[in-house]
Amino acid sequence: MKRILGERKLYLFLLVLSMVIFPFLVGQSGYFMSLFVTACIFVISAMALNLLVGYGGQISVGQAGFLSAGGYAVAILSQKFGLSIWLLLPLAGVITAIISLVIGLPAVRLRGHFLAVATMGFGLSIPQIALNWESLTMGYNGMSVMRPPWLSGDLPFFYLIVVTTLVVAWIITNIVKSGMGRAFVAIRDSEVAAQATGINVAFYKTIMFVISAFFTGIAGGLYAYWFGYVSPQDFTILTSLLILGMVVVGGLASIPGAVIGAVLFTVIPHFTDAFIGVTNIVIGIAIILIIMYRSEGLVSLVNHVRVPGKDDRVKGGV
Amino acid sequence: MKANTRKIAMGLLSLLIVTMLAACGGGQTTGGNGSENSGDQTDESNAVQGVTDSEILVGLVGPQTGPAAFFDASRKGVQSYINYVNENGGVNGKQLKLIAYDDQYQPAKTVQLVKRLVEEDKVFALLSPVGSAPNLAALDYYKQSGIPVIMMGTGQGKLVDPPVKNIIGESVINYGAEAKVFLDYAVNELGAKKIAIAYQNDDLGKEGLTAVKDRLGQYDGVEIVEEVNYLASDADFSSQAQKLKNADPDVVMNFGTPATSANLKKAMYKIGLKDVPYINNSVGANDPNLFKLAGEEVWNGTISGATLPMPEQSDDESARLYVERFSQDYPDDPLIGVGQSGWASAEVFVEALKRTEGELNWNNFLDAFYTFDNWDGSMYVGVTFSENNHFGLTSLFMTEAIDGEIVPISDTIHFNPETGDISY
Repeated sequence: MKRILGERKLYLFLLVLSMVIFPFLVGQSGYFMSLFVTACIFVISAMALNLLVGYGGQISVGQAGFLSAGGYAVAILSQKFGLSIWLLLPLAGVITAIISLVIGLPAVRLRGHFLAVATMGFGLSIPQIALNWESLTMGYNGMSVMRPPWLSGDLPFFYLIVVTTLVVAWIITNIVKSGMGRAFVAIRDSEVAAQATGINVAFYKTIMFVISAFFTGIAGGLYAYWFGYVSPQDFTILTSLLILGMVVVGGLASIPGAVIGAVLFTVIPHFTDAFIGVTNIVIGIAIILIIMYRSEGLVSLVNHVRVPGKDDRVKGGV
Repeated sequence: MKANTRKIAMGLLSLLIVTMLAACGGGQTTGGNGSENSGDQTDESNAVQGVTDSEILVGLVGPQTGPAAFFDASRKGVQSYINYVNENGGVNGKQLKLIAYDDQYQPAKTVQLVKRLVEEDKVFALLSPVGSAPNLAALDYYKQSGIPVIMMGTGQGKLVDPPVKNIIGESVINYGAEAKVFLDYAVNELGAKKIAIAYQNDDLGKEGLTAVKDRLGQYDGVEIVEEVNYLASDADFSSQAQKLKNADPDVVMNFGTPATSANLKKAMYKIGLKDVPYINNSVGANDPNLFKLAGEEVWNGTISGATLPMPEQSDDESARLYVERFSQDYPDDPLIGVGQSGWASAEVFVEALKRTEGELNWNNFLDAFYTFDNWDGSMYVGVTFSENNHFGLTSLFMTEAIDGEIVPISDTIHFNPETGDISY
């Protein structure tokens, strides 16, 4: 059994296979495909935020701002210049990354609560800018986004999102394991010690925000394409808090944790939506319970049943 | 490296399993409906779902929690009327069942939940889904699925103009149509030549402004002498008030929400701009609470319009029923406002069900709406639909704020969106 569990290729094969057949399992239901896509978008956002919060120790409550920026980047550029989707998705990431410098540069000097408040300000201001910069964003009415004709069916686009999610997961895993990832962890554990070992703290803190924003921007772009519409109401401060909740509930400094948290928070409303006003209560209770009894997040349950002694090297909280 | 990839794989796998479990849990009926819901709307027209011998399923999406949760009163109005209908034998022997989901006024959630209602719960129609942005986000899906969408909770013009077969009516009078009537009233009844306009810088205010500008050419010698705008979040209106005063207008028209309308009028009052007639859009004026918000003396004299009577002052039969039933079902919710439009929308919906000829399918049901010609059997003063008019609410009466009450000051005025004619 252990050997089977250890078969990485087998896992990946099963995973890809089940993702491929998922739409057919649910009869190509628009709702369940949308639910899956929403989960994927939040998986990317939560992984990107985990890079900041879990690995880098930088609190951000402004992640929704990055999602908005990515969504609007796609909407505006496709409407005004008719660029191709292959150009637009990376571009959504790049533009969001550039915008993130607004918060990334001051973040170098801020930490803890101050950083949280600054990022919150950022997250709050993006919808306001979208609302009032009417010539660019069409304000309150929002903008519709057309998919290219060959992707107009939900099925091909579903696969595009699945592939993107897998690729982003792979890239983020590699970032975490690289020298850069270790630098992030060093900064989290002690900025002074990190500096003393020759890590350029200011540079890495900025780059952390840029990378996180890049991937979240791509998620925002996928969102805009899938739903075909972006508006200032899409990503509010609540979205930011929800993504942070996903990371905390799933497990800080753990990529599978971010995945578990994102999926959980996307699926909860499916079961609670029919009961009026219950969704937020259930999510709130989940967060409280996890923080009280499993402060390392749900992923620690998975780690627990795994072979002892082979734990992650980079663990711990903010 | 290996361990982590495996964990990711496991995480994503669990994502899949959970979502699939979710699919199995709620979606016994999913099989094969993919093909049913693709394809264009004409193929769908004879479609029927959500109707059994004993029941008709009705779907509603709107905010129940979050910053826009006060709109939930609209759902309560709908539910309250449905309770009433069901207790009295239902429609043609069928009980109505409302399935309502909370989108927290987030358009992406709206789209997702609308899909859930249409494809999983298989409702017959959507009734009064709330909000401009949420409905605009779902608009493409409405068109593509062909699901009847009845009396959306907004006054946004784009949703119903140009008309789409399966998208019928709004529970708030179209902001533009209302503004055109107000302009006509200002010119013909108040004799105004110089018009000053204040508007909230969003779809609500701008649609009003654009409508006034569009229509202005029809009146000789009438001009806009000042335009000022503000944001929904603004609290200080002194500069706008000063500009309005300097323009020396015959009438001030304002398109805003209750808080901004009250504050603007307060600011005008403070600098002595109190004798010029002040016309305010209904969204921003039809609430006696404004006497408290602005001060009774300040708010007195405000002219506006309404498609619904003030519930407790009216002897309209359906308004009386509404007061009785709604206050019994939801004693903590205010009677005036969105609860009323929810109730009245449900009345329109039920009337269309009753008028449907032949088998109850989407096509026959939608055709039934074209028989509404200034129908006054609901709480609305009049509801009209035709192939080129999907607005529904094109009849209103003018009101004036007098000593704590909002009083009707005109008979019903009709606006014809096809010709632009306004008749008193």
